[in-house]
Order: sequence, then structure tokens, then C-alpha cells
Amino acid sequence: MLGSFLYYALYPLSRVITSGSESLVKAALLINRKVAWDTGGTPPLGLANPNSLLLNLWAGENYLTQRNAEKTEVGESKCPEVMELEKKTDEIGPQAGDKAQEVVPSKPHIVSSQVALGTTRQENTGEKQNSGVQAYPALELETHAHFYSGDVQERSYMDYPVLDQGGVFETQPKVHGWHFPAGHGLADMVHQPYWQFPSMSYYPAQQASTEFKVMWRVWEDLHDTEAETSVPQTADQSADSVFEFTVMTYNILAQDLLEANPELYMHCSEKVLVWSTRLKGILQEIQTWQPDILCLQEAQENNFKRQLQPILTDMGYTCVYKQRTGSKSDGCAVCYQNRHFVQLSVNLLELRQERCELLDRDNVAIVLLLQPVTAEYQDEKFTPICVATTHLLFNPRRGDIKLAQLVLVLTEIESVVRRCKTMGRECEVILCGDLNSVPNMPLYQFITTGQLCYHGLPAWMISGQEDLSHQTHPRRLYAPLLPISLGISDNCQYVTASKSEPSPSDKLKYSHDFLLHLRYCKVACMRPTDLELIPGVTDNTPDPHEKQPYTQRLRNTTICHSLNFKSAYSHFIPGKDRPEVTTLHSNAGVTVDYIFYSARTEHTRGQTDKRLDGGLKLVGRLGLLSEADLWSLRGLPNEIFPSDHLSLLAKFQLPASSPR
Amino acid sequence: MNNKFDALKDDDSGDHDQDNVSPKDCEKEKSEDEEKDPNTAKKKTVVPGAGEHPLQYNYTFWYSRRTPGRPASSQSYEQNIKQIGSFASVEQFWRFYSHMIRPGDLTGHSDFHLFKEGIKPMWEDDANKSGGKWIIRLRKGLASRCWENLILAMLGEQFMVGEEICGAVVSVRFQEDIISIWNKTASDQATTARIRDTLRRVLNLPPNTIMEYKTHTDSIKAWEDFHGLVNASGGR
Repeated sequence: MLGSFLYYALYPLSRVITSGSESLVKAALLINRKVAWDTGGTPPLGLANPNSLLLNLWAGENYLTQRNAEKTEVGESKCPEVMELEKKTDEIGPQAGDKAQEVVPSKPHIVSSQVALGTTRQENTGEKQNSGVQAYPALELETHAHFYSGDVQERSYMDYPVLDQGGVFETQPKVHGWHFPAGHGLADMVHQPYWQFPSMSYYPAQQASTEFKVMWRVWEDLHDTEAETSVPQTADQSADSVFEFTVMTYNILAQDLLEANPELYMHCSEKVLVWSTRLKGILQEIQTWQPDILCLQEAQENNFKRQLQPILTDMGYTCVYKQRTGSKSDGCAVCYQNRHFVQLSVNLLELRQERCELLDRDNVAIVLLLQPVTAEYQDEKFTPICVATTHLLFNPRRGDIKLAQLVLVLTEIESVVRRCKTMGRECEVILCGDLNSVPNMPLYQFITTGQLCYHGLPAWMISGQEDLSHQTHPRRLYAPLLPISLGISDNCQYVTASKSEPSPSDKLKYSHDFLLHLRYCKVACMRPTDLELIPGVTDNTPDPHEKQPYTQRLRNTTICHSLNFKSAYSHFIPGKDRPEVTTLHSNAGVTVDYIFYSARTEHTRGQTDKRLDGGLKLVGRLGLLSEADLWSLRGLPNEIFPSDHLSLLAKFQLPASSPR
Repeated sequence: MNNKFDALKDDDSGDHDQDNVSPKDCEKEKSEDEEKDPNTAKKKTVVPGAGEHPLQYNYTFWYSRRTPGRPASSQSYEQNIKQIGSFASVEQFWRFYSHMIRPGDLTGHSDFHLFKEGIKPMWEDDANKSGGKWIIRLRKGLASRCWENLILAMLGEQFMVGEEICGAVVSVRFQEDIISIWNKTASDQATTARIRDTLRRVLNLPPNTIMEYKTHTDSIKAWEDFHGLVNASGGR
């Protein structure tokens, strides 16, 4: 009886130690947070090491069957990883015992008891006999172990068939899964630097080396050869008739904002938050991928101008920077490779507009027009590319402001495109940046579908960062979104008075639309002092929100644009059901960064005549990670990813413009 | 759970109370300053305010309403018609227009007139006496929209007939509404044709809409015939 009791106490401890000896918990963490925390299914695998082998044998068939059963239970979605893990464990096995004692203590009292127990356990398992004295430290450790790695401990009850046989713990409920809340405790058990472990599962295998070389993010090649061949290839459609370039957008987390909001980065170790460390990481990211066009958000003015820009200039980039208005120290930047592009025009947009209540925040945007150049073709063989980047307002409750800001940016893009068209040229568009909005919510839909009926929508819903549907009286959007005095129409076009062009009759001509846009300007809403009040005749009160039966209803409540945008990312990890995450802080990760491009539209006439019509073709992108992946790296920023956002990188193909 | 995420990354957090204040509330405070503006004083010629969009011509709004039971006469017509105000810019136009009831919501036998400053909305005015007007009869419910489109086209100089346009009228009647646009020279067929075509375009009228041109001389004559001896001396 005493023997079985001690076994009950010590057997789990042997687990704790073997798993605590880095490999299992560590590896499980690396693969998927759920493996370690939600099911707690992996620790029993630790029994593969020699020390627990005896126990296994002793446990007999019951152990094996139960373990197999467990594998299927755990394995459903993660089977490959678990199997691989198991192999790893087998390999590591021999040294595992030693490593357990080498563990660098972060919590001294645990480790000391682990070490103490390590010896105790080895004696015990060896002799299968023990004295009462030895059992006490063991029990004490059990308490610690329970505290710090509850699931490992608890789970082991199940794996211990002797208990059932002996009937000692008949009342112990059969538990099928344990939920272990995400917290610091488990992570603290993982003392070893994790890069000593090779990559798992779907990441490409890397050659073992002392340096960390795991490619966390994989390049996804999207060249689809099939579609290419279905397009009739003409003789001159060789390699030089397409222009390939890469675009990166990266919110690099302004150091001032990081320091102003420490609560968002509580999960990070001090050293990954140091600017010099992060700068190194940011530069490494840029140097690794060498994007032809680099769009940065949250680039802090002093850091960018003094540190980033000189290096980027050395790397062959020309940088355009726009600092946020007001007292904000960060801003946006667009950098392009000199050897690939020539700048045709640049617009630095301030999204704060005095004439509009909604546009009262200090966000900015950059709209560039770049002409692709190649060594052979200095002429205008390729259509120019309009590159726009912005960082929209964060506040999850103010989708109305975000939408208004976006309309401003799109209007500027539309005007650039229009200007190209008046010069007889097409223009491709790339819109990227941190839109602080999640996929498939209204703001996103507006970009991708080209229109949005916003009238009456709650403001929080526009971005969808948080579900605030519990609010009884949410702020809502009402038409018109932008005051007509701003001179921006519902279809994202600047409304210009035709009087600017001297008309032949030399008259002050105004279009119907232009006149309407001044309808509720400030002056017009003030009652003329000389207006006699005649009841029923001159006692109307102007109401900007009044229904306008005189114009089409759709026009007043809907905004639209004519840019045919497609997202370079699918927002789901390919082949998995897990959403991609571009930013992560605290305990939520979402996609808020995007690369949108003017997509190539395919016109199909009949069965055979397929024609591709201008546009950019997405041919590759740098894969993103899921929230679980990122938490397995202790969230963002971390040693590998220096910002609380991931970079987005996409490769595009631009066909030579067809001769006119 | 969400507390941390609620924390905002910068000071953009404000759900300011004043966000809920509509523009017109803010403007009310300013309107007192306007009284000092000499340009709004009645007898003076209006000029566009700073930064406003000047119109090619200054215009004046008029309003008239026939008093029931009293015979219409030239005299009473002139007494019944009331000057509402004049403006010189697009912004000033909207100030008046926005504070006026839409024609479709007017009651009784009422008219709004919008004429160039200095031209009275009467056949007898020098600018009108050899002129005429295009008349469009509208079924009920269309007057507000058509009137707005008509005057916007007129103010925006969309008719392209030089100085020919005098003004426009919307007349609210019992079973129908009538809008009309007056020009100086009834005999200038090129001008009247051009006005007609522009009207069709800007009012977005169905092709079968009947448009009728009537010279003021004819109107005067018809009026005299109708009223017989009552006003033999002429006028209306």
C-alpha cells in the first residue's frame, strides 16, 4: 500500500522532471500552444526515456493501451507533430536525465527540489523500494509541480493504471482533457533557449547548426503555371516582358508608443523591448527580404531619420517620410529601390481636416506614383504604379473616423489614377499599411468590393476589432459621411468647381454636384438675419442628416470607389483553418495589416478566348503565422520578430503595357 | 479578458462628448457675429463673403400667396408678393434656400420666385416685357425636386444663353404644380430652344412631358380676357 502510494507520488514526478527537462514542454510549446496547454497530452511521451522505461514495463499492457488511446485522442489534428515529437524525445532521451539537472533555475526553489527529487527518483525506480523519509521531499515537490504545471501532474493520474487496479483512488474522476490557462507559469518552466530545437511540422526542415536558422515564415510561391500556359504566349512575351517586384509593409512599433503603453507588452522580456535590439531585428528583416518597395508605419521620426534612413539609403532606397501631425512622433514611410523605380509624383496626406469633424485625428498617408524602370527599358514600357500607405486610427470604437480617413486616402489614389488616364496611361495601385480593421468587416469590404452602404452601421462594426454589440446606444454612421464642404464625392472623387477652367462664355459656371456639395456648409446653416420669418414658408431648419428625396437614395448612403482591389493575403493559414495574425499584443491577435493590389481581371469570352486585362499578378508572398504560433514564441515582440506586427511581403508581376 | 486590449495605443481614444454635437449647434453661436456684417443689410447690394463661391449674377427670392376670396389685380399682386432676400454667392444661396420650406410642402395657392437682382417677377418689368417663359406642369409630388434642379441649373449658368435668363417660378396649385423659367426675348427662337433642351436635361424629364412656351404678351392678353372689365386699364 505504501509502495503504491509512493508510486503514485513519484511516478508523476518522474514525468515532471523528464518533461521539465526541456524537451517536451518546450517542443510542445513550439508546435502549438494547445498541445501543451489545452490537452496536456504530450507529457506522457516523456516516458520513452530510460528512466521511466521500468515504470512502463511495470505498468504493463494497461499502460500501452491507455497511451495509444490517448494518442488518438490527442492526435486528431496534431498527429504528425506528436509523432515527430515522440521521435525527438526518443533521440533526446539518453541525455534528458542529465539535462534535467543542468536546467538553469529561474525559480530556485523548484529547481532545487527537482534536482533533489531527481536523485530520489533514480534510487526509487532502481530499487522499487523506499523509505518514508525519502517520500517527504517527493511529496513536497509534488505540490510545487502541481502548482507550476498542473496539467502535467493531473494528467499523470490517468496514465497510472496501477491506481485503478489497486483501487486506491477509485473516486478519482476520469478526466478526458484538461484545460490549462495560458499564463506565465508554464512558460517559466521552459528555461532553455528554444532555438536549440529544430523546427517542427510544416516548417521546412533546416540543417542543424548552432545558430538559430529556423525559417519561421515560409515563402509561398503562387506562380500558377497552368494559368500561364492557358494564355496564348506570343513570341515577345519572354521574361523581360514582365516586371517583377516585391512590396513589404511593416508596422515597426514606434518606441515612444511602446514606452507609453507598457501594459500591452507585459508578456515580453525587457531585452526584446529595447530599441537598439529591435532596430537590429527590423533591419535584419528588411535585409533578409530586400523588398523593392518598403512601406513602414509607426516609424518614429528621430529613429527613422537618424538610424533607419541612412542605412536604407545605403541599401539603394529612396525614402519618403511623413510624420503624423500634432505632437505625434511617429509616421509613415515609403522607400523604393532606385534601380527599379523612378518617382513620378508624391502626395503627403494629412488625414486631419479642419473642415470635417470626423477627420480630427493625427493620422497620415503617403501616395506615391512610381515608374518601373529596367536596364533595357528606360522608356515607359511598364505602366506606373501608385503606391499608397497609411496607418489608420486605432480606436476600435471609432470606425466612422477610420472610414472617413480611408475615403481620403482612396480619393487621393483615385485622383492619381485619373491623372494618369488623362495622360493616356493606365496605372496600377498598391494600397498597404495598418488599417486597424479586421478582414471581412465593413471597412475591408469597402476596399475589396468597391462600395459600402454605411448609413446606420454602428461605428465599432466598421473595423470589427472588438465586438461591442452589447452597447445599447452605439455610435452610428449617418450620411453624409463627409461634409460636402470637403469637396469629396461619395465615389471618392475630388469635386472641383468647373470655374477653375475658364469657360468660353467667361461665366461662373457650377455643376449641380458642386452646388450640392456646398449645401450644408457652415455659412449655409446660419439663418440669414434679414430673412423674415413667415410661418410655413421661411421657417425651415437645415438638417444635414435630413433625407434627401430629391437625389437617389443609394447615392447618399453609399460610398464607392473604382479601384479593383484584391488582398495579397487570404487571412487564413493555407491548408489550416487558423486565421493569420499580423499583430499581437496582450491576449488577442488579429489581421490589421494588408497589401491590396489592383488585380488583373480575367475576361472570358466564350470557352477559349481568355484575355488578361492589365492589373498586377500576385506571384508570391511571405507566409504569416497563427496566433498560437506567435504565442509559442512568447507573443510579440520577441527575439525573432522585433515589432508587435509582422511584416507583410508580396511579390507581383506587372506585364508590359500593351502597345496603343 | 479584454482589459489589456482595451488599452489604447495612443491618445486617439477619445469618445468626446462634443462629437455628438451637430454642426448647426455650433453655428448658432456664430450667427450673432453675422449681424454686424453690413452686407446682409437690406437695401445694400449683396456681395459674396470671403472665401465664398461668387455667382455670375445676384439673385433675389420672392414669395407670393393669393389671398382667398379677393379678386386678383395687378395692384394686389404686387402687394402680395414679398421679397425674401438676395444673395451673391453659392453659400448665401443655400442659406436662404435651406431655411425655406420646400415648394412641395407649401400650402395653398403659393409661388416661389427666384429672379436676378433688379428684375421684378412681373410681366411688366422692363426685362420681362418682351419676354416669355417655358412652362412645365407637374403632377403633385415632383415640384420640390424639379424646382431645386431648375434653380441650381440657373445659378450654375447651365443654360448658356448669355444674359437671356430672367428668373424662375414654382407655382403650387390645387391639383398640380407648375414650374417655369423666364427669358428676356420671346422672339429669339435659338435661345428658347436651347433653354428647352437644357430643361429636359437638368430636370431629367420623361420624353413625353409637355413643355409649353408662352410669351408674356400672350399671358397679359389672356389675363385681360379672363378678367374682362375688371381691370381694363391693363396690367395683368
